[in-house]
Amino acid sequence: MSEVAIQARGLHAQLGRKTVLREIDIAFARGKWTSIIGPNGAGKSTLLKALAGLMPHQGEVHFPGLGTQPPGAREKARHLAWLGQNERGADDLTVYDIAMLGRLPHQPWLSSPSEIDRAAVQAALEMAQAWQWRERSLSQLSGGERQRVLLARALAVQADILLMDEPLANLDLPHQVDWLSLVRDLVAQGKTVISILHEISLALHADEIVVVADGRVCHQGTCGAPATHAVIEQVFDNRIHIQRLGDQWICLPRI
Amino acid sequence: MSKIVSAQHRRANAWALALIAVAVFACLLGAGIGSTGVEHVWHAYGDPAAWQIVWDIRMPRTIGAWCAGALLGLSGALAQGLFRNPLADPFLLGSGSGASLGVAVVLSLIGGTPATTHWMVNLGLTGAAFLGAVGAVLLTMLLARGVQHTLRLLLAGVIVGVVLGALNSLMMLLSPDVMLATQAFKLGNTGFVDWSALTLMAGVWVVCAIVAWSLARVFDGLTLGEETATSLGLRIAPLRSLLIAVLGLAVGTAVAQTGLIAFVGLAAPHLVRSVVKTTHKRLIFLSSLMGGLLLLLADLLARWLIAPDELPVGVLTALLGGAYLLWLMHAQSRKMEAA
Repeated sequence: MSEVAIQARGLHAQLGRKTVLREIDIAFARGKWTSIIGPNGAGKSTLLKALAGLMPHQGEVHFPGLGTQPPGAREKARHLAWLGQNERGADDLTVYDIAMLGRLPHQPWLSSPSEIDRAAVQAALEMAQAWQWRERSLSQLSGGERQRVLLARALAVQADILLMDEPLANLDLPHQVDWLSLVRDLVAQGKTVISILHEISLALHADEIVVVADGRVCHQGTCGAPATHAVIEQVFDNRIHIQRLGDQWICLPRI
Repeated sequence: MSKIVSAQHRRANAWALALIAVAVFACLLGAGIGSTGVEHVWHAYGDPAAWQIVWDIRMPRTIGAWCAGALLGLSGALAQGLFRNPLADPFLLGSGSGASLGVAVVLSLIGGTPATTHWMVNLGLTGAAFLGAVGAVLLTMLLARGVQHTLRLLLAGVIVGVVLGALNSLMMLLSPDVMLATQAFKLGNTGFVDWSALTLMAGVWVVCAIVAWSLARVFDGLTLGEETATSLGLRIAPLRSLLIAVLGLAVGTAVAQTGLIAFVGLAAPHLVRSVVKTTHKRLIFLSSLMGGLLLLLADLLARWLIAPDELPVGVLTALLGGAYLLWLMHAQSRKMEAA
């Protein structure tokens, strides 16, 4: 593997009495897009939250880009951006205000947004194609439009690593394709993207696939590898089939 | 972009100025309205009795009503931001029931005669109400095992409110002679606010407003959910503890001086949101100004409606606040139907 962005060792987590992550050892390559896939309840979101430090867990998560000492909360927040599943936002805040929240880790406690913050927010809103709604409140937007604003909020952090849980929720197909292009651009800039996607055909555009089932990482490999496809089909009880269409891989249901 | 932001800020600033201006006008009006009429204001300088009425009774009461309302408005904005629920009330953590119980305990210990009532007003009642309110908030936090879980905190607050309310009723049952005085406290009254009470409320308001304003970004972050707020480097648990302490202090201080005044804390942030969309930094401040103005106007109305007698201001705020919330509910359902 090339340089490592996130290294996890012995990740173990429980929700109540149920074990949801079982002794996971995994490393994510820097400057790559890794997609985590698996059936419902496999532990994908829990894994992502544990990597982000957003839930109690056992084991270690190390960020080589931040040195050997555990980073402080704000330092880590500048290094790692999070876009959660079903993330909400205040209906009263404007789109611009929501995106500006992404700059919190960069701003001294009592200071107002700087020109750098404003430029970062504008760039993020433009990347997410949400700049035109900057004066509108979130309540005036559709589900897909809200999702693009929340994506802009995560982009505004300008972090080296982006963790996204279901970022394509509520997005129509053209905007899903736009999201793929955006991720490609981010990776080209040297960013690391780790996402959870339910649309396996879209996930198969990633540089690397991590397959999770029953709280374990079953497989980590490239998207085109037959072994990756075999494991994906297996964890979905062979009720799906992956095949090549032109220059891309697609996932079809076995009916 | 700065033009857009400044336009939004200008609107919020204009509302702040308007709320302050109306409050100053209402304060001047408050100095002139009373059961003895308005004539005392004109002759106040030459008449020691009139001067005493205006300066020692009406002025502290009027400005005190604003301060108590400002504390409740601030608390309402804090509660709604903390619980991410626009229907959250400052009394949600059991502070209202705790304050009532504190008063009932003191009353039953010292009795409810006019002489003791006077003593209570000057000293014991306010302290008991404050300790009761803060104690109830602490009990809620204890039952919720901290402040990490919003739902657990809300449920614990409801339970504490119900249990302390029941204890309060039991106290009244055991000491029927204190029932009237406890009931008067529950109805809310600004008539007992003197200069020392006003100074206390003003001091607490300044402290609470500064702390809340400096932590306003926590509320903005929390609107995205606790996970996202944490991912942005905000230390939610300790900041929430601090904000709950501020909430307890503000509510406890207001309730201790003026009794239970309903709806001001709930309605003030709603009214602000209906006229200006802004971040919590401004929302908290504007809600406080709005709360102050609401209680001040309600107090004037309570004094004027059946003069020379007066209504308990808490009854008036409950009636007006209830009507406003009904209207809000109706307006929102119409909006949803139209959509």
